[in-house]
Amino acid sequence: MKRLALLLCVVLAACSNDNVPDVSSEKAAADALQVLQQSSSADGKALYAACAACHGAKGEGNVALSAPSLVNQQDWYLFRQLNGFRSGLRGSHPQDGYGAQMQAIAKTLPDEAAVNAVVSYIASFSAEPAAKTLDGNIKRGADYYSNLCGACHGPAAEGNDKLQAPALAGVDDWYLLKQFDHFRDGIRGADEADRYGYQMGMMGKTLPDAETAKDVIAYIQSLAD
Amino acid sequence: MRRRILPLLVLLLGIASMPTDADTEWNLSEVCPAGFHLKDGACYLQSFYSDYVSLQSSGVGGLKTGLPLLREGFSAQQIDLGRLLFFDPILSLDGDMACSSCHQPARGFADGLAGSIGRHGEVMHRSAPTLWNVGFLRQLFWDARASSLEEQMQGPLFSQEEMANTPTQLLASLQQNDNYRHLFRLAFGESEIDLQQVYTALTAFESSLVSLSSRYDLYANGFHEVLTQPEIEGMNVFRSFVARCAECHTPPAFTNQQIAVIGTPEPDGVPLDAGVQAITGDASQRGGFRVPTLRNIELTAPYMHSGRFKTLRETVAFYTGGRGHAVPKGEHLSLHWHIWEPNLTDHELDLLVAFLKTLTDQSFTPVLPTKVPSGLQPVATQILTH
Amino acid sequence: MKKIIPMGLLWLGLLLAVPSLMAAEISVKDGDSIQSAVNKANTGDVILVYPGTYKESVYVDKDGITIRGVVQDGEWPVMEGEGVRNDAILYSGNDFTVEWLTITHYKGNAIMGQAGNNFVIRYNKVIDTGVYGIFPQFGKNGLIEYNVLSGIEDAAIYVGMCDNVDVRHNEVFDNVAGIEIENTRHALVENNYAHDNTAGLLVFITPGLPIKTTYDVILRNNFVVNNNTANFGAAGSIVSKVPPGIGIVVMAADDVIVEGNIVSGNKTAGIVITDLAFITDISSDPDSEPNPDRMVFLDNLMFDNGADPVADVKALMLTQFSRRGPDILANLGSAQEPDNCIINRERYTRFGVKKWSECERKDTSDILTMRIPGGAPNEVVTTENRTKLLYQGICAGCHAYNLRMIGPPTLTVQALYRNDAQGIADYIAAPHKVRTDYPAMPPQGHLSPELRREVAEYMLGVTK
Repeated sequence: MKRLALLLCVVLAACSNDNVPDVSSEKAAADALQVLQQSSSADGKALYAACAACHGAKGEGNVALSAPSLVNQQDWYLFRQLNGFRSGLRGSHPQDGYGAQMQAIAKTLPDEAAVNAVVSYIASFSAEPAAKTLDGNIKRGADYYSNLCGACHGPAAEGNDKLQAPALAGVDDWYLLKQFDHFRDGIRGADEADRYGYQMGMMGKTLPDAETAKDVIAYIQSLAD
Repeated sequence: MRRRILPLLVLLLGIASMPTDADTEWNLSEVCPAGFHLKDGACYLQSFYSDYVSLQSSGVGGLKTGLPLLREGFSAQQIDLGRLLFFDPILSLDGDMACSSCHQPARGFADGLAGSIGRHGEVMHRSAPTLWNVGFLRQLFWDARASSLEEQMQGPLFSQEEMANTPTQLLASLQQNDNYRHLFRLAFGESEIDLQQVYTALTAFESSLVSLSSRYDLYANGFHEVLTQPEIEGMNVFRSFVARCAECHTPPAFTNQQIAVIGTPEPDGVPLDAGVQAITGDASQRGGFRVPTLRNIELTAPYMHSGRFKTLRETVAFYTGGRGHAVPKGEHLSLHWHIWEPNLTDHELDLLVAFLKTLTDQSFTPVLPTKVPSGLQPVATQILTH
Repeated sequence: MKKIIPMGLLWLGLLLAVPSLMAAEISVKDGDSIQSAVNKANTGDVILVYPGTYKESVYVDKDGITIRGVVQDGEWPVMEGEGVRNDAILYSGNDFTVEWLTITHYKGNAIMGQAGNNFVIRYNKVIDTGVYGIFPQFGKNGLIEYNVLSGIEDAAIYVGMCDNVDVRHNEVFDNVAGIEIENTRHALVENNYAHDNTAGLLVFITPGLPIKTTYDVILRNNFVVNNNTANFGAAGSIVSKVPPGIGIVVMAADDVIVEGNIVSGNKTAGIVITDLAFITDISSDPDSEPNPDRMVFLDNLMFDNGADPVADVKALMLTQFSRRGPDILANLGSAQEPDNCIINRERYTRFGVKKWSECERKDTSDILTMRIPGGAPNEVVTTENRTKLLYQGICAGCHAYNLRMIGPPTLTVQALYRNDAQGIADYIAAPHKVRTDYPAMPPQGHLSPELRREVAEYMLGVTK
């Protein structure tokens, strides 16, 4: 009953923008909840079955469902994000429909052990850079990346765990762009309690325009080739 | 799951990468060194003193005075190439001496010796000066015989007693090196290496060795609490018209860049060094030397042109020993008028030394290369400052 | 009207926000320390020194400080050096004023400036003290007036390497040099009384100094009388080489105008114009132009000079016309050239001015001051703006606002440390490397915790 209520919230929350999950995405999320209800916290593989509905059996992601690939994301970052979803730091903004979906699902993970287990299972997948879907001025993007992003995300967008800045190279470019827009628009990282998200929220406002963000992401994408 | 992107990516990243030890391919930094801002493709100093002026643009004055004109405006790549050349013994005929042999980062860009050691172990008759803030100087060498760094470096490069190279040989050894051909092209955009480029790159690097963030500088810019009471008292002795140190070692560069005849002693048994007189033939300049900077002076013992004084205490005591007390019998020197009888107390000498140590600042020590493009062992990079 | 109200509000706001801009008075009484008051003072403050004896050396490295003696019933505040203290007043700050003090028995100088623009030094009595009485150096725009100085073993008033200075209404006597303008441009020496010195007024280029020129100097309406005191300058000093009995010396300086002075009773010469050869046994400086050029000698009252010249001048006289020494002595060389000029030359006993031309200018009544209207612009450092300076001086060397330099851009630091200035303050004391492609930051542990916190907060607020 509780989970049903959460699902209802997700559907209600998703309103009036392009972040509204479509029918197939809603279906997949509902399936995920079903799976999780039947899983034990120690079994990462079994838990991942819930994720696979959207993120794919090998963590390859599914752009049609707006589910990013997971294989190029670092374990510590996935751990932090799953916990962020669970605590409501992430996915609580009314315009973040997909985030709300993910929050609902993450909240069904019973404890940290379950989070660890599913992250460990994802870590066993082999890394495969996500395919390029965006075009941008890579040279221009490189300049902006070097000046503003590289200080935390590293010279090759490889991430920097000391600064809790995740790797970006290899992550789906369409997903990076969506998240960047969210940071810029205050849909993600607007909550001061979300320390690292808030940091990126500040940085999200430092690029001059949307075109530049695309250039930077095109450059990041090129680093993964 | 990708935890670390392959190191290869770092190498492919041509933009703005600091050279790191992981490099296997030679590249040059597009980032200006510490203290310098990139403007129109060239690096310019940003310091405490950037907004101050000086009387007649002389670069001398008091605490809040503009700096002397700096050799700046080099590209980041030229500076970085100079950094590699500076530590690379390929510049010497025998492949065993570099600029850094006598100008060691760990020793205040001097060498800790009274006389530097020459090519065959011979002891030079003058002490290697620091290169900190050398880009502010209009005259180089103790006897001021060079008027640019480009001119100066040709002394040690081609002196038989020092690096013993020849222009032809130096050029050939660089041209035969793939790494250097690549790097010079990056720095200068020309297909052929020429000697002017070598001089320019070394000048660019040496001029980037800027030390202007000492505790003294904080005091000078309004942070009076950073100096201790004895250090402030030492500063007041320093600039008093009794000790008169500041009259020649004038802030902010702590040199007025003039020639002074002060009559310091040579090592025992060594005849008087004629100094500037040997260059100009002017008897009134006998025993005259360029007034050296006192910045980072704590790091560059022994002191004076001959390295005769081992400690700062011994050095400051010279000035209260009596006008001309160390001039050899039978010599006449036209001693500087500020060399007089200040009758400083022992306590005042201690205070002076305390103040001089507030001029220490190595925060902009450059990245010391662990390898150089020639493949030879880089010289004097063993002690990393931070 | 619309504009006036907001401006008024702006000023009110400024005054409220920056309390130290409002001048305060700090009283120093006998037994207190003037230096303690200086240490407490902020820009604009006036330190009132009451009658008493102050045995200290005072240094002023702040801008806009006034030290003002309070003379009550003829009792002055006295700074007493007891023959052991170095200098009485040392200043480097801009807009510094010192007045109404008696200063005596210091080893070095009474009042010495090293840089410091817009200085005012007036109403001081300097008696029997060390090397120079009043010595501003490297200052632009200054006023030295109504001071009385005696018993100084070098110059009583020595304007060295300065620009735009007026020296007026001072009395200087029993010194080696009365008033010396050296390696200085745009100076007006007016209405002074220089008597019983070795030499009265000197306009010099000293070789071997970093600022090489002296030009545009007016000596006007001074009394230059009986300067015949035996030279008691310290061995090796430049003035120790000046022969006694000279009213005015112009050495190597250019564009010097001499007008309206009363010059009498100086036993070697009234005025000597010479090149650098006048001073012997000094290390030569090829960058110092040795010749006096374009001297302008207007109407002056000169008499009874050269009555008993020193041997060199006597010898020179013998080769010429007279056994009487000269009012005007243009020494051999360029001093005798026609780029120098004179009017009414027949009124003076003179040597070496034969080729001088007639001056076009007849007086200098159009020139009232050499100081700059409105003063010299300064970068004023206060406790309010020094943090900005610290940021620019130290941090901005490696951090630009939104660009990669040797360190990461300020924007990223602001994002990483939002609301956490202490985090920055702690990190910079002992930085550790967190980025593979940036060099480690140099530690700033020499900054106090308060300063690190102060500059960290500033960094978080930087907007460009």
